[in-house]
Amino acid sequence: MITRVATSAAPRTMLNNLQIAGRGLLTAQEQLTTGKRINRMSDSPADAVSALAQRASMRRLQQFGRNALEANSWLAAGDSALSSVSDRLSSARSLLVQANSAASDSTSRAAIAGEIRALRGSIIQAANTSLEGRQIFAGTSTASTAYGTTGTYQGDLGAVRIPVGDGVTVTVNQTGPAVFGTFNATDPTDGDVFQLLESLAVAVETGATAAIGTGLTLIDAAATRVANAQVKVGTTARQVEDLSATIEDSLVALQERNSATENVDLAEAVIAVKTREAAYQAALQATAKVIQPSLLDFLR
Amino acid sequence: MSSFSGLNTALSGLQSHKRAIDLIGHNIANVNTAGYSRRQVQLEPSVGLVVASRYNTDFNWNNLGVSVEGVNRIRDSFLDIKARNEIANSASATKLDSILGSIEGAFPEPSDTALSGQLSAFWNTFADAANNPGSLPARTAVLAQANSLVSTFAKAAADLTTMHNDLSAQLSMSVEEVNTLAQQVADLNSQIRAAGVAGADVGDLQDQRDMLIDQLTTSVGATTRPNEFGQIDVMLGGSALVSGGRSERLQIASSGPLAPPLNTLPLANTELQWERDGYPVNAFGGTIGGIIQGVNDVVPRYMADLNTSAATLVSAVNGLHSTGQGQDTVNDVGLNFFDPAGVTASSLAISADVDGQPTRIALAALGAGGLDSSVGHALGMLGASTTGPDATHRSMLGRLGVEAQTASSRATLQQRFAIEAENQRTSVSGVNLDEEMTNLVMSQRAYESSARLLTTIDQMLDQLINRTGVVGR
Repeated sequence: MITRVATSAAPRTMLNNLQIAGRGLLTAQEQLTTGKRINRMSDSPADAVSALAQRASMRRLQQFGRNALEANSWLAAGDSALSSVSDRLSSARSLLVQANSAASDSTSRAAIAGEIRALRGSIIQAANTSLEGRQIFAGTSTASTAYGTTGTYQGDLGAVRIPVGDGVTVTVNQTGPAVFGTFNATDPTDGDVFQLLESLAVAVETGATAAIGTGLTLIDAAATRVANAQVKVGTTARQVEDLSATIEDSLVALQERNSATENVDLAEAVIAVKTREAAYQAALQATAKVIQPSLLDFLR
Repeated sequence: MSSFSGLNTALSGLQSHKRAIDLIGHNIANVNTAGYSRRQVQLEPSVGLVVASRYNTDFNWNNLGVSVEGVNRIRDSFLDIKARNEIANSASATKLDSILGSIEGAFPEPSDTALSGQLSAFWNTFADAANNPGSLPARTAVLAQANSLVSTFAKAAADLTTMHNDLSAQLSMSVEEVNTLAQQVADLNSQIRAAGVAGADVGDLQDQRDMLIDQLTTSVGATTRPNEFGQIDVMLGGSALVSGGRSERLQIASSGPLAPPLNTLPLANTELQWERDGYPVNAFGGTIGGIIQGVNDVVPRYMADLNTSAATLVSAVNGLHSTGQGQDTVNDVGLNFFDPAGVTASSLAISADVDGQPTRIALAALGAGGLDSSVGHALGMLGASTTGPDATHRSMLGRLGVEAQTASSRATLQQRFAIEAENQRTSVSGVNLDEEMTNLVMSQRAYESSARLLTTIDQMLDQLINRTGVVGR
């Protein structure tokens, strides 16, 4: 308990209080002008650490979003290529039926064979679909085309896997052999779709009815393989779509959480500034009164 | 009884109260002087020569009046000790607070451009490159972001190093200041002793010495002990920094490496020593205490933490990167992304194997196709690792935040304690103008009354000398 007050004590205490009030006002103004509740780690260490973790998660989720877009373009390119292959295969099938049923002469058979070869060519073209300069059916190889002009596979069996969520990685490619069958050097009818079509074209030319008959079954098998691949692509696309919707949701939730952690409530901040302004002014007024009336004022 | 004895009484009143008024003037003049202790005149009734005698019971009518017995310097040494203790604590807490504030400045988080943001961006460039492993721009972006990350690490390390150097320089200056202050206190001790023996007033010298001792405790947290002849010894950790008229000198020296686990840093432990024998000073505080804690513990600790983050980055990235291959499946195998020798924040560097050669960045798994990107995607996911550089850095920032917050509130609290203690001290020794004015009025009235007494006696004598015995004139 201080019983005697030195004249210098009041200004000293007032100055300290003034500085405390000034600092408080400065903090409130900083929060209002930056819009941030946390401007440095020590403003609220626990919240600041969660804010950092949230920022890192947001960046990662944004990356997952970009990855999902990439996955989508792969899957869309794959799907459209597979659809066109599927169309070509059914055209080839009807040509075979036509070649088999009609008592066609060698001229029309040659024409059909020509059409089959043309279809084979356009299937090769579809198999060489590229995405941003990259062959989508060539696995992870750097081959400039998945299939050569003669129909030989130039890619590898690598899978293109893209992470689209924490712990979720999707395979976005189908390799050539998985879609078009495996090359068989000894038995072309057991080989890939390009070998098969070429051998069927030969069979149509030569009028080998039995070979054309088995060819129909083989074409159906090839079409099933393509259809299976398409289903796979569709399922994956669905999975990616669902995941990116989820990621979008969690990103929004995370942004909200981060904003709640880092940002000031504007109304609250304005009130804080006003309150501290008032406190500061009160401190200033009190300090002005420190030049208080002393006995001097009353002595004549 | 002399006819004129009353005149002497009036004179003593006039003289004593004039002195009292002079002293009040001195107090008022020094109302804002730092370290000034108010003076009080000690008045005592004059005591005549009284021969003690059993039968002498009469009032002593000789030598009436007042005399100035002395001038008291009002000061409470207990409050001095208390105030100095708080001032020293406050100085060291304020210093630590400012050091931690500067360290926080070296890590301007949370932000997208500071280290943690740079790390996130770095992982994302890997993921983007992995999405497009054949694209040269995407690979180049990885190197560009890596460069930016490396320079952010280097900047933070350089900031901490500069801070350490600045603090060391401050320390040398503060120790030099302490040596000068100790010398001055010792000199004042000698002067006070000599003046005291000669019977002179030593109040102003004592004030000056107390001020210097205040500065000493602010700098180094010393304690005091009274010595003979009004001298004061200044103690530091049980040894005398100032003993009577002698003072010791302090010095700063390196004493081996820092305490583990900071001994891996290329910094030496700084020690405050007695210059006389090189023995360490046992206990100290104040600004120097704060700085020494800063250079031996706080700053090195965050340097080490930053280095740990850098080392974790290098080992995490290289661990994955060396399992992959670049675009040349023969030559770009088993490469490190970061220079494995650079495991500190300042030496962190992109390895010469991939620097400037984006095609050699290993995005593909070993033996996989040239456009495989499994390693690239794995690198892109490193940010989520709970043991990776992000987590290491984040936990360091958490510690920094807590420590800075604690230091800041401790400094604020200590400042309040110091001001409270200072107010208590000045409540005894400080000048209060109201009090001085009251005393002034009292002394003025006493002076006036003494003068009136003089007039009265003068009139009495006038009556006696000029108007008595003039009958019939």
